[in-house]
Amino acid sequence: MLTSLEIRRRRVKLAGGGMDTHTGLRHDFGQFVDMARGLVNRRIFSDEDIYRLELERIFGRCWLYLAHESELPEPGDYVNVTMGVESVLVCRDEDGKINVLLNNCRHRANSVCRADRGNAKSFVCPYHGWTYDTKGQLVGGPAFHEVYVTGLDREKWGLVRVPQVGTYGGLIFACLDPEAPSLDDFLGDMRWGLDLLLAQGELVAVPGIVRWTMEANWKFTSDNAIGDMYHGIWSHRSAILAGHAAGTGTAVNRVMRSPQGPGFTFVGEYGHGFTANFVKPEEVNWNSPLAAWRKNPSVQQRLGEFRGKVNRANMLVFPNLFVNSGSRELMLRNPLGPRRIEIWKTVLVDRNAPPETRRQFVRASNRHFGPAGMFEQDDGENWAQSTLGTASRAAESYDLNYAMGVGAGEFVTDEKSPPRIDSLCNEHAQLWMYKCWAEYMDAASWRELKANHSRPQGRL
Amino acid sequence: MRNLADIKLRTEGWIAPAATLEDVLLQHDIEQCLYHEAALLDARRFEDWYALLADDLEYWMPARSTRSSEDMDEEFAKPGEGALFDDTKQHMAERIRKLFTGFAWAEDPPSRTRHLVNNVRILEKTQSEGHLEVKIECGFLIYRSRLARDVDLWVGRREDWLRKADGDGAWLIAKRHIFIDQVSLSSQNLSVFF
Repeated sequence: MLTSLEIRRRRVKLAGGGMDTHTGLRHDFGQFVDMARGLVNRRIFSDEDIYRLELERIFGRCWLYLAHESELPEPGDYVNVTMGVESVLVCRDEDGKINVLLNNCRHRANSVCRADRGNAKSFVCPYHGWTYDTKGQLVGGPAFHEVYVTGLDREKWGLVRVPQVGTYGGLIFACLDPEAPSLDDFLGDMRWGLDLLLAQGELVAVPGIVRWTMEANWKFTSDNAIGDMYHGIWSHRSAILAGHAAGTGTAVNRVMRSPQGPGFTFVGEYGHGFTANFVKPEEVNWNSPLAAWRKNPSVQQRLGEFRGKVNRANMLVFPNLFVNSGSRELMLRNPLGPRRIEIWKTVLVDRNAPPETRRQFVRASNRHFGPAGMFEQDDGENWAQSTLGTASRAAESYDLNYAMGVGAGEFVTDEKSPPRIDSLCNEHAQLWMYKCWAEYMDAASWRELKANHSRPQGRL
Repeated sequence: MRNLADIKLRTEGWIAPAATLEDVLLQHDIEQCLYHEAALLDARRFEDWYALLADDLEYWMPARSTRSSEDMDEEFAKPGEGALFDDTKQHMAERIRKLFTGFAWAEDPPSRTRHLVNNVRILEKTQSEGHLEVKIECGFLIYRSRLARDVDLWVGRREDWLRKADGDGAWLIAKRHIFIDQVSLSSQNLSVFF
């Protein structure tokens, strides 16, 4: 008789590679992704052991988006957010520095803060009252000196600090792995893509984060973000037919005829990427406040001619941040299990824009994305259905097809951009993401990953 | 906190001023309208429902966050900030058109919903030139069954401004502010109307 664990191990027959200490799985995650034929194995979307290893090797290793700096203007301001599955406090201390601390009391592991945001001088555990300041240092607790008769070294019992914190263009990221490269090195050329949004003005986060959950594997949402230009014509057909505008201040309706318009695909080291479509001057609604930034000379100068032609980019900062340069959202998709995620949606607006313009941007985003969004209603339905389907054991040996244009994606290297592929609708970036995913999963450490990871060259 | 011994029974809203027959009829009238509206939505008669909306409709569901007790006034995002619905009548027309395209995957096959409206209270009544407007508050519980086994439950509080032109029998929905009781919604979408 096999135990259930043995049955699971047999099912997950992972050949070659090393042995994982937690799951006992032998792994060679490269086998799940066939770059030559454009295939991805279904199991990676629903297997619990693979998910547990992802928490360690991906969410435990990557720089993860937490919040926008504008959410923490004053000393004592904090937000209570999630890094993968870890509850963390991002707080600005009295010196103006941003600290990222595990929201986890050193005494009995309770959350020391249960509000989502606010301003605090200290965080007090509700169980026994251990109290920490905004730098995470243990300040004391009720009757501290009377009860700790043998002493307690407060310096040693502060909240656990997340070892690396960084910002790019106002976006606060942190990383749980002290060996990870710097945020700038992690993002690499992806910064050139993020500037498609971040250079549009002095952007600030709009108060009011929209949060919801769905029964989807996080990777399906990420592969949609990084380069699924195919789904719009069908998933979002009802919204487009109903006359919904995407909030970009442009009218690019070519997508209803064919998703294969002018544009390009970008992929970066460590799993990032995006697709961007171009807009012609006659397609810009120049009178719309939503297009005002396109007329701003300093913005155009910063973007340059090539990026200045972009209508909208759908971007992925690996592993789980979707950035939309059109309706200006940051959408963080945190895992809650192999088949469940929580989405956190933040809208960015230009701090200096007139109130009516800001209002239009926010309303456009409110209507476009979010659970009631004209577009996103149907995404939730489809990602949940994809995830459900990958749990099928009868279909397990039939890989998912990511072969659109496989082999035809040649990298162009010129002065206009970092290496790019001059094609808009393809599955190159999605396949790239899974290749990078396998590299994270196979690497024992950041040292190994830095030495062995893919760079955009040749063709996809 | 106030001294509990000093608090009188006659707190606002508990002992109402003596109701007139007119008040009772108005309450009945409003409740029947809300039940009728709920029935239209449950029957997926969205075009008929659209006819209940005033041309200057404001349909809004703000984002919500968990706050400490001293920050409860910050719990809901303000108008113009993050919201789940932030719509005009024109936007509602788009939402309804979407449902009739044959490509609205979140509602095709259609959900089965049950809109329950309760705790209806008339908060304000204003007679202006040409029309009567009332502000009401109610609780809602919307149950959705989808496909074979998917179930969603949305519970919250609503503030509605209903308006009736003088000499006209029909109430129109001028404003609807929807305050949902979850911070992180447990439904994969909100493809229904509240």
